[in-house]
Amino acid sequence: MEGVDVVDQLKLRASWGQLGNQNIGLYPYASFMVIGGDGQDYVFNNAHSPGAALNSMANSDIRWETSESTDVGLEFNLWGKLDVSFDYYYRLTKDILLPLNIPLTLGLGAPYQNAGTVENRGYDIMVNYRNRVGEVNYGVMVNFSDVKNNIVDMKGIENTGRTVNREGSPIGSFFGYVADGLFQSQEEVDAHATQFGNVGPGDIKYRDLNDDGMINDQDQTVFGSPIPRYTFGARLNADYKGIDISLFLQGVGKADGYLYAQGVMPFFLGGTVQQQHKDRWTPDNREASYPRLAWNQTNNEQTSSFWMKNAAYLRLQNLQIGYTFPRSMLESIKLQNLRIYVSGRNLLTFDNFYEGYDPEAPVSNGGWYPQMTTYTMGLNVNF
Amino acid sequence: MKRLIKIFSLIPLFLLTASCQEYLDRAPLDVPSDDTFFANETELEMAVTGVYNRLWFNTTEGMPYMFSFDFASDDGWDRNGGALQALGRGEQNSDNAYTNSFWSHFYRAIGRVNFIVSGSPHLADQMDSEKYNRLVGEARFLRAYFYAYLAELYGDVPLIIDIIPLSESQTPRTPKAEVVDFILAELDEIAGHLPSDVATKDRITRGAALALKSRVALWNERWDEAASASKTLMDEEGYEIDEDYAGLFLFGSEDSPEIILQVQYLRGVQTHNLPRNYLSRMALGHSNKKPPQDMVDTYDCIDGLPIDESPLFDPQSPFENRDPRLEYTLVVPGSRLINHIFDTNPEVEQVLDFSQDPPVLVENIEADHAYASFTGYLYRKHVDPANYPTDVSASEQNLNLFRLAEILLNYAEAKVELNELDNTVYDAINAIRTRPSVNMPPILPGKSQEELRNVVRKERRHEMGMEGLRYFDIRRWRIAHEVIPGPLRGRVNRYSGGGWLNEPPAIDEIGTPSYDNVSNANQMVVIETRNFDPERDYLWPIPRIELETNTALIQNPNY
Repeated sequence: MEGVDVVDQLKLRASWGQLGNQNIGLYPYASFMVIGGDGQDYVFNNAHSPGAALNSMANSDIRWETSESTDVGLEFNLWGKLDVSFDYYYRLTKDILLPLNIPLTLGLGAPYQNAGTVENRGYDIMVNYRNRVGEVNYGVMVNFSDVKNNIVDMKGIENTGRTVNREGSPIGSFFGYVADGLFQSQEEVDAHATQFGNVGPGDIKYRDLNDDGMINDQDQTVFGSPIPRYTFGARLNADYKGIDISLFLQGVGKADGYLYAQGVMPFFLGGTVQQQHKDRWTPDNREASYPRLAWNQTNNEQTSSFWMKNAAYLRLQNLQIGYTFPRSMLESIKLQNLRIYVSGRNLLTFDNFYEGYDPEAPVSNGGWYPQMTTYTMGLNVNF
Repeated sequence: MKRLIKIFSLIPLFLLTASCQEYLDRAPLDVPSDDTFFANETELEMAVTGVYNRLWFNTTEGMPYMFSFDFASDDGWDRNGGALQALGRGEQNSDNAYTNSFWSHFYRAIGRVNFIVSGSPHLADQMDSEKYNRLVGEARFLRAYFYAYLAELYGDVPLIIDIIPLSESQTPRTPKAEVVDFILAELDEIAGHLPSDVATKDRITRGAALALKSRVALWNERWDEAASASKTLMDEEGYEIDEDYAGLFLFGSEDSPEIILQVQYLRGVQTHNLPRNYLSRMALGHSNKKPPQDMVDTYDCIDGLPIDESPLFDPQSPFENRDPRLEYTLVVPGSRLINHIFDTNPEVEQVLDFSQDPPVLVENIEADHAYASFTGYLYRKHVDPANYPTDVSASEQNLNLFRLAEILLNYAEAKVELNELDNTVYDAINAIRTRPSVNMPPILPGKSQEELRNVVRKERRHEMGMEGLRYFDIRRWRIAHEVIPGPLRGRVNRYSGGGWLNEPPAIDEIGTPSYDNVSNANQMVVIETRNFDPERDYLWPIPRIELETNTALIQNPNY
């Protein structure tokens, strides 16, 4: 029984479950009148007059949505020091209750329909190792996970916007034009499909996907997904004779980030420009990161892959170094415990995202306050 | 005990007769469902009110829809770099939020009418039938009114006049001519059920039905019908041209004999932001919508001649001796707006403040405010100074949908197109021009059809400025691709030194200025450069989401 010393624990798990969700209001199968309110009332003879209207369509065939999950897991411990757990799961959500777009000509809001089928498949790995070498105690904990999201069925309805839910793509995929860099000359502009407004050299060039000489909604496609893949975290700690150190790293291996509007576009809504826009296209700066500066032009403001950037990152989330004074030293000054430490949060980030923007908020107009870097010095005293 | 068993044995019988399924499917008890609605007259009244509610439709920055179109015409510009501005530049596409909002909002309104028309006929026997027909007539008027816009903006549109289920929603576009036939027939049918009353401005009257018929027939070049509907309204409904032009666009306009129909607002219920959009920074506005130099120069001098021909025009005092409607419609530099003299010239460092007695000089905020009017002009029409200061962004001033002057001009235009150039045409135009507060010289008889056509077109621009008609006029006259493209300009040296154009621009027969001959035209501020593709931009794009959900629709050309 030599192996027993190596494998301390071994567990194989498997589960299957089914859940329902009916959290969509009380009477989705019946249409009812909305009485009164901003969207129904009017004023006659200088007096408030309450109105009534039928605003949404009913769906008498509505059912619960169900989600099925299958999970296979493995857990083991080796030598009493290494814990490993691994889970693989597959979750299929069917009959998802969604207010799918219906023709606006019906004049009613969309009813909830059992419309979508979405699958998620992914895995989580967690490794935890603790050991002691001489007077050094140390531990490493790493987790790694990945999930693939895919819309299997949407009843053929393809919604539109900057982020879309479309069959065959992940939920909330980026949708727009595929950018082929910037126009370098007027001849290139003239030879290319018609784009938006007064296009000149230095403007974004869009791919004419259906080759009809015109860039329009038919040329839009899914070009990215903000759902992060390969997310990981690592925690390391060690102590030696009263000195302790711990650090926490966190990151995402693959994600698409997208900034838009004031966050990245020069002169958006007649607004201003930012320092970064100095690297704009000019005849002398053809490899620019930004298009030419143009006022009130919409060509470069279309949703396109031009503004999408890799939002993968590795971040040193937390680092703490401390020192605990030995008891012997404390007894003379009648203290139980004395520890001093310095710690920092959000200390370092490695990424290729837009300078100054947080890859942890990869889809935005820049209108939010970034995470701060914090340094803390502390003293713990117990009497 | 035996009896009890008997009773219990009956229970399964009940369960058999009423299926379990039906027993559990209960309608909500706290609100009426669509099946049980229209139980009485009150419910019908409330549903009709719900259709009127759709007249409260604001597009950009709380701006009521009916005037918003003109910011995409040669009379205006929207500063917000959004969808309406893109439309003005000819850059709209099937995702344009401004154009798309009309499709969804108006079909929502039409659905409410269809619900009434399909669901309420049984009430005709249960209540006063005259009242029933009037109420349903009001709703049908509004459906016709919304369809008129849809057909004009999109061309062929699905004509849906009943409640239809989702399974039948793949509706193709109905030819525009058929939509117009429907509108005109509806208006004929309902006119008889509606009251004639000059004093009613909040509800649909026979006058309103005739006014809409006049407008729709004119827009669709059905000259006979346009002329006759206008004539019936002029002869039978009792409306009169108001002596006071400015008062038509202020509080109190409810009492004007010229106004036919208004959208109603009331503090605490519904207000609009029009004053905030228009007013100067010093009057607490955002100067968000701006008239271009074009619109200033289009107005004639008081001798009835355009500024490039009139001996009364002095380029150094460009606002003197002008058609009074210039300053009733616009705020020009040096004129008073609420409490201050308005001027964006940066060299005018101080302006008079009339809120003090006697007036005192105060710092001119417009001079260096980044968002003061870019063009140096503002709109005055539709803003009653009484909105200042507390109601600038919550105005309860009612806004006009129809007034008699439009009908007179519709009549004149239809008659001109019919080549019936009789005195009634001149009378109609001159009734507007010679009202005491405007007092422009009458148009003299003896004009050719072409001359009189130009007179009417010019008069429409000057009389109806910023009332939401210009955008439609330049489209139906097929001149948008001539008057829109190119630079959209503001005053000379808006940002330095001030001053005026050295010479008047050349003004064409319908009042469109051209600046090619002006020696300092290059000092005019250029707000943007606009395009208009005649192969595409005369129709709006159908919303993309609609093409995705209704595959029977075909997009308009070149979108």
